[in-house]
Amino acid sequence: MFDNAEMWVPFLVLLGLVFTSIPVAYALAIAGVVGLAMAVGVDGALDVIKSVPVSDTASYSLVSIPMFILMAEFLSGGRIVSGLFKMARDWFSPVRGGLAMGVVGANAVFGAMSGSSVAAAGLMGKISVPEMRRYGYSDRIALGTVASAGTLAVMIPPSVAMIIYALATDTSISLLFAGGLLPGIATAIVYIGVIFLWARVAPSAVPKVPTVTWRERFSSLRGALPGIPLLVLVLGGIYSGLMTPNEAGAIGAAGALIISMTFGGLRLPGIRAAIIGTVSATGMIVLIMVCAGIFSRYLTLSKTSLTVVEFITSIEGSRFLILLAVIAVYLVLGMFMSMTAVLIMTLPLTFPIISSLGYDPVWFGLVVVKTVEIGLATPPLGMNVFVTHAAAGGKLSHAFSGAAAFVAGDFLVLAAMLAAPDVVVTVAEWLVG
Amino acid sequence: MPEHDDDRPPGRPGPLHRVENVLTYASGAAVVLIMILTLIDVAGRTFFRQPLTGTYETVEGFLLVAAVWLGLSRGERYKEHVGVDILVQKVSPRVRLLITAIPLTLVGAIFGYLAYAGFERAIDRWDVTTSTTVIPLPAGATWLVVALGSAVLGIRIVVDVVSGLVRAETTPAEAEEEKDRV
Amino acid sequence: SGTEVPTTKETIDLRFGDYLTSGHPTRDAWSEPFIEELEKRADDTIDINVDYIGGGELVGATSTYDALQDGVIDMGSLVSNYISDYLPIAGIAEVPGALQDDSIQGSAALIKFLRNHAMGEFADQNMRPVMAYAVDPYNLVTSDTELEHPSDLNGLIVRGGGGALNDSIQALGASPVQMSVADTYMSLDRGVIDGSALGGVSIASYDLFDVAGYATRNLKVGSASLIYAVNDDWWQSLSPKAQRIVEEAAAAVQRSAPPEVYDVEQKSYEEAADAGMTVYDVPNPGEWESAYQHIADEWATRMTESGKDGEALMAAWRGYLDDAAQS
Ligand code: NA
Ligand code: NA
Repeated sequence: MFDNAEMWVPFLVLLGLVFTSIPVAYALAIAGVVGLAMAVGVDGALDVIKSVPVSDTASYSLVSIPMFILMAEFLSGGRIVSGLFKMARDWFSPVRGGLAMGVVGANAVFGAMSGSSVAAAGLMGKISVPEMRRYGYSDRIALGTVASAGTLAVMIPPSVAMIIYALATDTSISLLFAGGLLPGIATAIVYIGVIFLWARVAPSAVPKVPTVTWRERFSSLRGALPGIPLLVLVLGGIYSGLMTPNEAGAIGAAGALIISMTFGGLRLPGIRAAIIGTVSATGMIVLIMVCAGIFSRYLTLSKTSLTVVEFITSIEGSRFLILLAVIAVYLVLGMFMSMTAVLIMTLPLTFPIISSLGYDPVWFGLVVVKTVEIGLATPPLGMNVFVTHAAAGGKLSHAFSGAAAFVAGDFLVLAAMLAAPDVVVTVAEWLVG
Repeated sequence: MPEHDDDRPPGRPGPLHRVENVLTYASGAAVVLIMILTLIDVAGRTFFRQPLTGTYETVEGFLLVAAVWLGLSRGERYKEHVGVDILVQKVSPRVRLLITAIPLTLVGAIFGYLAYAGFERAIDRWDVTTSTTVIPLPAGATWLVVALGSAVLGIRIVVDVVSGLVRAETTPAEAEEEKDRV
Repeated sequence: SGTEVPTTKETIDLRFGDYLTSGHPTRDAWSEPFIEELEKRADDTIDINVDYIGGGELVGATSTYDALQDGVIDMGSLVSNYISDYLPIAGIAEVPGALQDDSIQGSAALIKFLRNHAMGEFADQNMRPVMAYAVDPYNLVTSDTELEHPSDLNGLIVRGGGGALNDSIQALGASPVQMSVADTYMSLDRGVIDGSALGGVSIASYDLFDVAGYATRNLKVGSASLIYAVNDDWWQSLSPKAQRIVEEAAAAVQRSAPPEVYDVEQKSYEEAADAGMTVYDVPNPGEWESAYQHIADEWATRMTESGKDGEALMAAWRGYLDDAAQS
């Protein structure tokens, strides 16, 4: 594996470039082109990248990114968001870190309706990070909370990742959805626990909010009131089946515009700024995806990922050891590639082995999704961390180190899933009936 | 190619800056159009059982691409694209400039190539008309948008590298200040 | 060993990319058998190396066209839906009202049609068709409505795959929406859509019987085709012998695959019925077909307007269908 330069040189190039401080997207593009040139020659590399900008941008599933960000921009442009967060702060004031816990809860709800963790991180990054900063939260905890909680969208059904797994392995989509509920909720609870502990260990990162009177609490409801119809519109629209999550983003943006203009004091300069802010954040996010697409094509054409997976799956050892090795591979792949690419590429190799060892296919699907999802919050390619950072600013290193605390919580959930596979499967079967 | 584009006083942007502004507005218009088309589609479907056929194809194939690609260069102008900031804090701005000059020029070349390939394909597919979009559009339009966006982004990257190096020749501290002011 | 290695040994290097995930019936019946057929034709004079990258890992359904044209892949499978603006003649198999009875008959007619009428159109795009699969005519899956007459579709929102299929959904009185097959499950479940036009195979592959109650079996709402094509530069680089080998392998799969997928389709309906779905025939299919007959006429008119003889093309297509039905 290591005598073949095209399998590791591009990784070195990538890491080296990332450390020079050039944008991550650019580092990926260069490393990808270098890798492709090594794998298929310079002409071949140029042919491969020619169509990537169009093929990796013109994808309807990405629409939710600009639309949810636009909704957030319109809301934050007026006074609606500050009203909502003042309400949250007042009502959760007895709990230290309550506001961040509220953000986790909001993500669980949003995760339940959307399948896109990137859209969740974009929306919440725009809306909640500035508010948490305003109330004195450190950037580490504010960015880390949003980046990690965004991954709940992958685990809490519906989830595109689970559908892809189901298709690739002929497993029941309903069982996977039902099975994702328990680990999804467990993850949210563990995240809240992380915030609770963080507040204990490093009180300076989490402000102590003066306890407010019940009178103040109720009066804070008034400032939040205009935001309620919007929540009803977006959440209700999706749950009632009137619209898909992508469409709800657009409808939510239009609703946010109207509400913010009517009640939030949003005027033309604010609208202009909101649209430019959306363009800017969307461009940053999608450019990283497109350049990651170039790098991913190198991984595919050079057979690098495939070689690694083949190596791991050829290990002789106990059943559990092989499982752990497979999980380790997913962890590493999740750090470099998108969920979809990882699942499609590896499942034909790993799934037959795991099933032949007698592991439950639904349970394995949830374990894989959970594992790859962890990669969304870890360097070098933590898409959710990038998106949160793109939406909220601050230092990328703070975002990654903040997310690390939550990744520790993720491992706890993963360990529980490994320890008690029967619980996950039984709950899923019971829910489906 | 405009020189010292960033040195112009505020209010009198250079040609590259002006092109970026126009593209950014076009990108913003695409975002707003996505919102409006989707609104018409969902409202039509819900209240009149008559969706706006072709919304999906128009949004996916044209508007989304325009929303992303036309705004990229503005993001580069304000150095908004996400980078890791751990090691560079420890080196001087002059060293950082020298370290990044080569990879950034390489990236400029990659976007230059994508622009060239995009223009070529835009011309090639200009007379293919789409049948599934809300209104018929030339299939080459998507490629033209990518070509324009990459061309301006590539030029912006190279212009910033060159002007950064020119300034670093004089006083590194000023160059850094200048960079923040952009 | 002491045997002489022939100095003129040729190698066929084929990078074959498609979007079909492992276990997909089309991949099982077409893509993988083609590779087997090709590889088993290697001998003392010819080496064959196939690099198959499936599952959309390198090329998706929509990006195959560009990748094939650029030579990123030497061979790929083109979905008619996404290419009919670029290769209009090849789009004939998805025109409602021009439909075959089943995928066996349709596929036989389609490959003949492409060879006799569409080679120039493909060559202009640096491609060459080698195998063609005309999918079984599409039927309708609905959540809660058992359909008898087209009027039962009034006011329903039905997913189409886009293009001509959406036109025929509209012609039947329903409102077409466009979304991926992967989104269809969630959208049926949540009531975003009331039904979907699709090939019978999809019912089982996507577990749609979980979220929809009814499936028709004798409609021809539309269709789609999958055209396996090779990059023309790659093709020209092969020796006549190598070209013959590729054609033989393709011909073998063109014979064996359609009956195989047809069986999978029938099993998909059986599985749906076992899962509690109502699988049924509409009482009067003719009344449905007359609703979208005009779309075929419009297709012919559009072709004629762009300088091809649309009537003649449609007549030729129907002739090949008749031939296929005879044999
Ligand atoms: Na979800
Ligand atoms: Na990662």
